[in-house]
Amino acid sequence: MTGPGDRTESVALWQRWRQGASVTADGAAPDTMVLAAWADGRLDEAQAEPVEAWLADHPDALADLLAAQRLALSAPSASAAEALIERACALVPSLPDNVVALRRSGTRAPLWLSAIRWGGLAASLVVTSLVGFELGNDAYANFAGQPPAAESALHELLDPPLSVFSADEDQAT
Amino acid sequence: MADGTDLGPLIRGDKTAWDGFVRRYAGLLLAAVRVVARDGADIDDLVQEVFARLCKDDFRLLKTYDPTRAGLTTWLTIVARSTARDALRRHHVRVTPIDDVPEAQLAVEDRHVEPIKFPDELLSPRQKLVLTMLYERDMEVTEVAAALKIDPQTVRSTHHKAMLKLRTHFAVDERAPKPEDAAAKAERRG
Repeated sequence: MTGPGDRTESVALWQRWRQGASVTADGAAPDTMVLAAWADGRLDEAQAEPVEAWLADHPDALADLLAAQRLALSAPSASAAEALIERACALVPSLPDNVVALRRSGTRAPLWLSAIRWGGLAASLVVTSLVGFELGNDAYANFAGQPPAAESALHELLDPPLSVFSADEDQAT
Repeated sequence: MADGTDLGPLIRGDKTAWDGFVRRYAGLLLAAVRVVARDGADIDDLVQEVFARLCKDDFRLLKTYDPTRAGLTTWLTIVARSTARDALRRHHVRVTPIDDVPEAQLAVEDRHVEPIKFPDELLSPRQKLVLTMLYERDMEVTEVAAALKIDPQTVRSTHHKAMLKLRTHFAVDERAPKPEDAAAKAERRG
């Protein structure tokens, strides 16, 4: 590219500029995923620019990315010791024998069945409320010793007149 | 699916998947960490630290990996090296009692030096990175080109333009009169 003299001069110029420029150079580290994408060459020019600006000021990170590129190209020949693998495997414990992992059933009740369930519950609440209201509506009149103004069908159904039972008793005797 | 590894069962806490992952990538992490480790550092401990970081908080870090954006090997190497460096920084903080330090070393020299500020935008990020790789990491042009996934000729051209900018900048800088020189001249005239 350049002769030895040119190189020395270029290095000196670069170092001189570096000393001054590094005063202002700072910024948040890009996300690890972004750095990995840069190392794999998957960023476009606009995305790569801030990463490269940051890398120029962070030689350790640049070394990491260059190492990642090298290792991605050639599968590492180093093999890990069995003891190391066992230690790392133990970081995620297996479930003890007396613990059963419960999983939510894959098949859920159909929507219509659930609608019927909730509808039935709502209807029973409405009926209970109406009955309670009807029963409680005449409570003040009963305490005052006055007969209810008008017997409703519901009231008759739930509170039948005494004659119904007395007629049965007469027939039995 | 990442580099042929299905991370789904792994991040759901499947023990068998984790064991398989450890067996497959322990060698890679070992290679990644070995260069960062200083003399005397236990490399196995550093690798363990990396694995611990990957599965910490219900695999929080591993869940951030996106196979559509980068290869798993690349991502793991970056994670491994940064984790190892952080661990070494934590473990190797040297503390010296203040009484053991000679007084001369504690003395503060009153030297007021104004830092020279060069315009940061003088060089583009790509130009800065190319010069960093060439002159600080002593990489060859072909190595820089491979790392940046560009043509070696583009590296040469980027370098050339950057050096032109620097030469022009410093030539202008040197021609401009320095404030103290101007003051001295004014004094002589007066």
